[in-house]
Amino acid sequence: MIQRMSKIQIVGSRRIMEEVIELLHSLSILHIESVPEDIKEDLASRVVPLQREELALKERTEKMLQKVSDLILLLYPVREKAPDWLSNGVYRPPVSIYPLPEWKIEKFSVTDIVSEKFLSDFDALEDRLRGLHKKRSEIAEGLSLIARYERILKGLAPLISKLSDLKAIEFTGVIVDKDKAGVIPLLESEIKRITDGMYQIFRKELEGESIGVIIAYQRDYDLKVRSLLSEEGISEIKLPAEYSGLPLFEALKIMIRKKGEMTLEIKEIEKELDKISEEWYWKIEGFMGVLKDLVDEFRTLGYCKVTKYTFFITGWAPQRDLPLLRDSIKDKFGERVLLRELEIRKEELERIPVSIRNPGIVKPFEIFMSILPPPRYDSIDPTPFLAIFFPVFFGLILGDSAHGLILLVFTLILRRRFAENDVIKDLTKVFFLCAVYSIIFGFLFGEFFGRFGERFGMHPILLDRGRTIKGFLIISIAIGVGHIMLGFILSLLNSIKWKRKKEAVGKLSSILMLFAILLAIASVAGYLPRGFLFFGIILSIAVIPVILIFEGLIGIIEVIKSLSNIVSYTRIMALGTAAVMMSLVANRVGKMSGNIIIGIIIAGIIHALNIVIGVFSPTIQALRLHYVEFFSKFYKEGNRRYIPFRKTRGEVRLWRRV
Amino acid sequence: MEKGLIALSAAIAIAVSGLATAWAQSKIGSAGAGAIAEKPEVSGTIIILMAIPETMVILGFVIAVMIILGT
Repeated sequence: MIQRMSKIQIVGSRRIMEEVIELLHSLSILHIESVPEDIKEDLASRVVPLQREELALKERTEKMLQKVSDLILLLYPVREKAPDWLSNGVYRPPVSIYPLPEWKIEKFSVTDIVSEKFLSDFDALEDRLRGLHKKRSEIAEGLSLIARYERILKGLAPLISKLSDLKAIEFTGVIVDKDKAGVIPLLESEIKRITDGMYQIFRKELEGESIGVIIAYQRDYDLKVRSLLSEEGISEIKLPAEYSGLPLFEALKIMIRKKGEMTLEIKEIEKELDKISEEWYWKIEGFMGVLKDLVDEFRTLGYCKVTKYTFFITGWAPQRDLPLLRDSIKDKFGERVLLRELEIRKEELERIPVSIRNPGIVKPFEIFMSILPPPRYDSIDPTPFLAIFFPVFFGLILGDSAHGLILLVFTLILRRRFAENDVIKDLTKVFFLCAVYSIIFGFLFGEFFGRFGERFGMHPILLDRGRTIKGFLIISIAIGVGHIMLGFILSLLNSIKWKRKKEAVGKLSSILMLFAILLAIASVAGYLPRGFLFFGIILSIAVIPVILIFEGLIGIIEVIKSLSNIVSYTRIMALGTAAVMMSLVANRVGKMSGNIIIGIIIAGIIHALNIVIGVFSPTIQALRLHYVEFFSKFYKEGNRRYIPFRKTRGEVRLWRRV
Repeated sequence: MEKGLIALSAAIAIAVSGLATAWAQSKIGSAGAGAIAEKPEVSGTIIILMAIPETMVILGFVIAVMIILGT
């Protein structure tokens, strides 16, 4: 539901402006409005200029925030969960220069930000971390180079140890693809010719699709052998640049030794990084929060209008939070600060920040609304309707008690396993409802793994989706009619609520025209007596001019588009039928195997596939029916979300006066 | 003969609409993959965009059903 908002103006003595900003920051209620350009130019009031010291502080804070933001990228959370002192306890900044801790409130002395110790401590930490990261990436690069030779090394290791003691003998390594193994005898005969038989050739199958070949020959023939290989386009095993001057075996031996050393070295570096991250990550994360809060407060100063003795802050607050805001200001500042509720002008409606608050059962469905822009303040929040219809559409499409039960168990397991992940928690709540509806519709359609339930006396109550396709088609279209009509009615009620008379008449006419067309179609199809056809045509003709006057040509197009929107709901039937057919195929293929165990395995695999498709497809299609068909009837996009002036670190008090 | 023609008509209804959907989805899919690579936060929108051309094959399926049922 879209919350009612109030336009607020806070007026007070300029001397206490910073304290008021501090209070507003802690309350996290007010969405502060930036000063419009025309008012900025107004001579009577001016945007508060920052004092020289404040300007220096602001720049320093921004610089430090940038520094710690860069620094935190070099660290990682060793423990995923933030420690208690950061989430709800007292925060101790990394440098202990704050002597005024109170219960639950940490005073962060803003002026201490200029202390050189702050930056020099972080500089030292950054240098240390960058050094470790650089060293690690250099070693990792060396390791990946060696890894490329590992396959060859593993395969040729026995040969290396056997041959490496021979003196005055040269070795050349060649890798040949297995499917080109025929070239090895040809190569051997050529080597034999060149070396006058003074050679030895060793081959070994390597992992993968290649063969390692080592050619050993007297050093005198080295030049001839190498030119033969290069003429024939046979590539030798190329060593990395740092080993290029070494003989093949020597290089390979060094590589094996180095690999072990490098792995150990990397482990050491990672251990040290772990240690530093454990000590610093959450401290820096917390400190970043403090700096962000401080930057926010400086920015807010720029939103205040100031005269010689007073300041004005304008913004928006949800009506339900207004008493808290009013009382808090009165308690702290008494008559020195005044809170006024301003009248909202009609032309401001589009610019009002939108705050959405839904009851617990609807809230998880907000996740599906996050991909759309927020609704306009004078529009309707579609989330409650999504929460009602999405699980029903899902259940109608999946419509199998067994599949629903499996989905139910799966969501419960996921919920337990990812209890701390809010997104997964919301999704499991949504799919829990979807699973319940699938079980209910499965029972009504008599489906338990397709028609497997018939063996236990389960029979269709509402309809048999596999046999009564026409009935299912009519039900789908009827759902479409109801859903689209509801969309139009919501739009009509909203127009009445906001007293937009012209729009309301246009919407009412559209509803009447759509109703008339549907009556005529139902009459032609034989579901209603013939008389309704004429009634429908006359009513349509009668409302067309009204729509043209109040909504324009677009109104007529909208009604015609609504007909195609209604037909689009046949996807419920199409996907539902596909799901039941897939289950029937699974059971039939399983039965055809002739063996009960193999049959269960085959049917199980096809059912598993069906469940995966059966969860993904109804989700997409049910969402699409809402986004494209239903929402287009009443949903108007807004462009402003309600973002209150909120503190990241509520428990830290930014202390400006030491 | 008549039965065969009915089956063929139903098959054409679904095959042509299936091809049309596939063509549209191939275009949206490749553009969508590019968009997701640049901005992963648009994944949800792309999935919905991918589902939009499915209306064609679903309508094809409905027509095929109507041909078979003789309505």
